Amino acid sequence: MKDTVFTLASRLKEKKISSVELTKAYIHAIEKENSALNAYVSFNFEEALKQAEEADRMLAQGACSPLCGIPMTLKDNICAKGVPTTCASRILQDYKPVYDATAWSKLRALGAVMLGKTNMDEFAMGSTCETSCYGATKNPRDPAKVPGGSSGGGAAAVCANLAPYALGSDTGGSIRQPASFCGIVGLKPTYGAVSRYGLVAYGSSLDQIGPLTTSVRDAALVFDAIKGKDPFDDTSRAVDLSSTLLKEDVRGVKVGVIREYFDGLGEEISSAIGKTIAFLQENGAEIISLSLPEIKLALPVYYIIACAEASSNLGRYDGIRYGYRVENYTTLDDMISKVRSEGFGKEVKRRIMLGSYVLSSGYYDAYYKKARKLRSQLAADLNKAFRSCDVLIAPTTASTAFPLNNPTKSVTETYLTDIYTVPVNVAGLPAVSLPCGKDKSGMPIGLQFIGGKFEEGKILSVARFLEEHFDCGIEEYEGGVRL
Amino acid sequence: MITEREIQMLAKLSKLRLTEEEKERMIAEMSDIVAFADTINQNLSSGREDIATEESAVDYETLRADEVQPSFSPEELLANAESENDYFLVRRNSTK
Repeated sequence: MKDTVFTLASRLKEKKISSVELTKAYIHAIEKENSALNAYVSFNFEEALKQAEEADRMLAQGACSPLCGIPMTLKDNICAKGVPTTCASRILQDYKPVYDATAWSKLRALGAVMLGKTNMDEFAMGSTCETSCYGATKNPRDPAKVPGGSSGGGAAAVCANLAPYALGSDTGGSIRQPASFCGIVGLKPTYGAVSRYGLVAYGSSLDQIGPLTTSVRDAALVFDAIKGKDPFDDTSRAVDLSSTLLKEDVRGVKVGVIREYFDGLGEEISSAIGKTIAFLQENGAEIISLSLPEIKLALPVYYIIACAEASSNLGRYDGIRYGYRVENYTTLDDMISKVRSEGFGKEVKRRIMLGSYVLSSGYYDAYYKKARKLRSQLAADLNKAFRSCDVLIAPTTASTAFPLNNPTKSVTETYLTDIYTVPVNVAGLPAVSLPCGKDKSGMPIGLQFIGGKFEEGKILSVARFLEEHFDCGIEEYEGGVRL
Repeated sequence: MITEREIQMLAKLSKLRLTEEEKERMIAEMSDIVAFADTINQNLSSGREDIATEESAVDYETLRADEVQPSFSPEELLANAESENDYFLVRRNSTK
């Protein structure tokens, strides 16, 4: 895997290229290649060139962040002042935030250059990028397949070399699953490690912003720049990444394998992960087998909590303060109902309805309250694993990228595809997905390392070791801006 | 199984208006999803959750003092809305 950001940073530092030249190269590639993929939903080129000019001035004055002058993208649910932020939903059409998300303002202060906003499932609800009001994004490695979701546009842009890195968000796997489907790296930080200020809320107790990159080292760099305590988000915390970084190799590192994660897992993915486990063991890691039968409950628990929070969070879309508006109504209630019925798509309506159901009188105790209790039990069980293990290893997904417009799957079958990613969000843990092999049609297979709370350093260290020393056989995409 | 009456009630609570076709589809899909959500009631380690507490994400120790801080101007807050004299504007009846 190539360190795109670090490579470009050293070229900028050595004055082999300027940020303006680099930005123009990406703009040119996006103009040529984006229409085939639909990774970007809006462009910020004029502003990006101004940001690049500013970055060049900062570099001339000796700016030291490797992120200075490097272009990037934001998922369309992360606010940037004056730039359309629509969550790929009709209900937020033309919405322009009057403030920057903290994660973006931190990068901006370091000299980042924002090329545009990338596609997603509407309100981050989905795992295919097909529920977007802008239409589906295609997987650069096979345009007949989905890039995954919900941060599918960002994953496709990074995979296709149309952005050095992207910021996405992960509520139940929305960074890791598209990273896995596109053969790149995606980090879901610990809940609270990155401020959620300016991230349009879906499931507030689960949402987390994180990077999509071409390498683990780049992911660590971007995470280090966006993490930390923010007065605008009381769930955020100060995080010291360097204190949990491990030494160069994996000798003596305890890697836990949850047996239930491999029950019923397909042969191709199972064998790809088996090979990496064997490789880690050959290099001195200690493999520890664990059993956690309750992990299967994480999926229904996740859907109950996420939908409950979504129905509450999405209550704010009333067509009065921002977003989609309607004409021809009779009463206030009529107006709000029309706005929401015309503005929200199918999947969003479904999740709002389910959220209303589990929160309504008579069902609250049986579903929402019970799910909250099971959640804290699951979190305690998973946290216990880190008493005997440094990291856990697990598949990111049960399959490689599936075809676009897959008609055969029922709603709950689609939800089941999140089975390996949601436990991490339910327990608020960090996890990084990276490629570990490919299936017989050449599509990438991903695995994830899961860490204890605020131990991003450990998972990134083990992932980096694997990335450097284990050949996963994924070819570089031939297109976009080539290094 | 979710009934049509329940779907109507939920739609009202959610401020959504469903077409007949949407209603029918929603009955089938919601029944499917609720059956799936019900798996939490076939708890594998029943009893343990009764002692588990509901965790709070907010660390109340870190909340800031209740002091007025600079905030957005009315112009900024109204930038995405229809407004009149620094107020959000909702017309009584748009058809008039």
